Amino acid sequence: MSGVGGRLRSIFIALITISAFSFLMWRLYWLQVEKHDFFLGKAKKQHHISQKVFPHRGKILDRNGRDLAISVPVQSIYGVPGEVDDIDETVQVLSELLNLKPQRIRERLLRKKHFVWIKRKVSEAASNKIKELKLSGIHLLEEIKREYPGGELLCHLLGFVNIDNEGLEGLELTFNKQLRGKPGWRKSERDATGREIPFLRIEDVPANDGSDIVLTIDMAIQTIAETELNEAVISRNAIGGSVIVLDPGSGEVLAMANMPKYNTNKPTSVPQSHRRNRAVTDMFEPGSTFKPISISIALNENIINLNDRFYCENGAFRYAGHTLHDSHSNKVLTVKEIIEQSSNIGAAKIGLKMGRERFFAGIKGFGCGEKTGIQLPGEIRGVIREPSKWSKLSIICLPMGQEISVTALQLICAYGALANGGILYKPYVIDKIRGDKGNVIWEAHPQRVRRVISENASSEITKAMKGVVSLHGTASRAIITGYSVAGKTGTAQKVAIEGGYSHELYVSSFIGYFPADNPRLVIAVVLDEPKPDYYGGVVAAPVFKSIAKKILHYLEIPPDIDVSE
Amino acid sequence: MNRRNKKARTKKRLGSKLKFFLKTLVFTVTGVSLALFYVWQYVQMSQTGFGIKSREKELIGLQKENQGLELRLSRLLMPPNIRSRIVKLNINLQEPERWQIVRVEEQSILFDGNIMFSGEIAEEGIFGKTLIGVSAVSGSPETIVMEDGQ
Repeated sequence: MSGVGGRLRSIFIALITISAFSFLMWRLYWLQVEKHDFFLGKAKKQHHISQKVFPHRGKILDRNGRDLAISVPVQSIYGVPGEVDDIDETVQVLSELLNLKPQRIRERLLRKKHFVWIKRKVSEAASNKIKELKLSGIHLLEEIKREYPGGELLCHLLGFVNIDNEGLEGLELTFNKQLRGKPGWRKSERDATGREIPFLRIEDVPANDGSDIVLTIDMAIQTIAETELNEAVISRNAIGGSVIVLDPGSGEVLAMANMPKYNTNKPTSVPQSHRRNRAVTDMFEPGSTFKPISISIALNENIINLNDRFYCENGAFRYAGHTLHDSHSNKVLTVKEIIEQSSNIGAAKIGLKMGRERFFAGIKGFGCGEKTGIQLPGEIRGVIREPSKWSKLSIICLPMGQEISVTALQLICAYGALANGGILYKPYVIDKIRGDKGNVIWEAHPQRVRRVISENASSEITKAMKGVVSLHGTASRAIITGYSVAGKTGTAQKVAIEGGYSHELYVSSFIGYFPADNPRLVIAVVLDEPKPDYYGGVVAAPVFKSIAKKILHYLEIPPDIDVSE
Repeated sequence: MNRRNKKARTKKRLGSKLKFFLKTLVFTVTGVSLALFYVWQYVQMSQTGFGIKSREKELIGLQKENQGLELRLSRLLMPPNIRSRIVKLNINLQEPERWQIVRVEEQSILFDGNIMFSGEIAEEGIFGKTLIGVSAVSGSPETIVMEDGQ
């Protein structure tokens, strides 16, 4: 009996043991084979650490290597709601230090999440204080912040980035791809406390920093332009304005200033209209500043020469049922005098002599109605209608700068062609792009668009425009002692909301170049709605003079006129 | 004879035991040494790794400091900043008048590390009549020696 019982017990124990081992074997198989990938992943996650290495956004520099936009590391504050011990105290401390509403912080810390942003990219003082306080559940994370050392300087050109360092405006937007760089990564094993074990690093791929962009802008000239424009807009009660300084021999833009401006470090603190780069996004009727372009086309076509005389109808010219007036009653004027005295009737008669097709082809050649192709966002084409859509009056209005709209940049490029012997250059603001190791990966070269007038026509129109900047011309306030200046004033009526031209709102402008016979620079000054004075010769020409005088000193351009003569 | 054989057998047994002991000892010592070497190497690697890590941190810290200083320098170098500083220090800088500017026209040729100047300077300015008829000036960039004429 005991033998049978013992054997049964043995069988029973053996069965239990086999079952237990079978279960264990099955469990082992399930864990090791069936769930292999799952547990391997989980184990790797526990032991491995993977970090993204952020690249540094490239710098933007001026032509002399001055930093205009750089990236610096800053701290961001985040919270882990589950770790916060005393929410009231934490909220109070953070709201005081970070200047945030307590309700906003509380709402974030009550979320059922493992990670909530409290405030990103805080000041160094605030982040140091928070680090010292060691608040439970509140941590710091390093991020890269874009800083613009110049603040308001060159704001419209530089643009700005969003919180994640993606370009939103200006060059930051256009060259976002080149500036942002490529992130790297680091894979390694970590210890029980979560720290990286450096000698068990598996992968270490460094980030490729973004390329540096070197501009053609000279910050000294830019500062001169912005300061003078700012003073002019305030003193002349204008609503805005633009100044562009261009090298006529290459199309390099040395300065581009606009008013109103904004601080690039706080772009959202102003209305959107302040952030517009008016020099390329706003068009206006150029008025009399367009006359040299019209007349140069006629000179180029040998339709006229500077000494040709035109009857100017004693200041009132009746055409197609309308009367065109001049500010002075002149009987006969030479072409040179038409420019010097800015005669509307004279310009209209030259237009009539040229005819629609030739005139239209000429102004299209100067780039009117086409984008210049500058590397800036938001550039517009301007407006120029096809001759088939012209009215009877168009042929007399267009030569004096009406029924056509241009941007300040288009106009200065056209003047560049008048100055340099007749070649239209594509304007550019990027001089070179440098890789993260300082190697030049792209370099700008002057781009000739086309010849628009002959050298002879160019020198003839320069001769005429020199007369404008003389004691008997309309821009006597732009005279610079010792230097020959060629330029033209413009006073254009703005289009009234109710239709027709306004008698109160004007765009005043002056565009000039110097030294006239061997031009180094072209400067365009445009003031929007100056009050009460609005004549280009009174309002814009003095701004040109102040800017030009300072630039002449800065660039050490020698005088070309002997003053004793 | 028997005793001698017994002695020899005992000696032989002792010899083989000693051999075994020595073999075991060598094996153990080698094993332990290897283990210790492995541990030592692991510790060294670990220490070097943490050393690298701390240097990396130091480097990042210095880079951060450098970037901060770069930003500060850029701000200080901005023309409006210099302008406001000049106003604050009341230096009363003024643009020179025309008669205060002396323009020196010169042609320079770099020859054997020396600079050769030739030119004519004939303008009267604030500093009086300056260097009229200098026909040749030569010397290193630091020390220019006039050869004739003043």
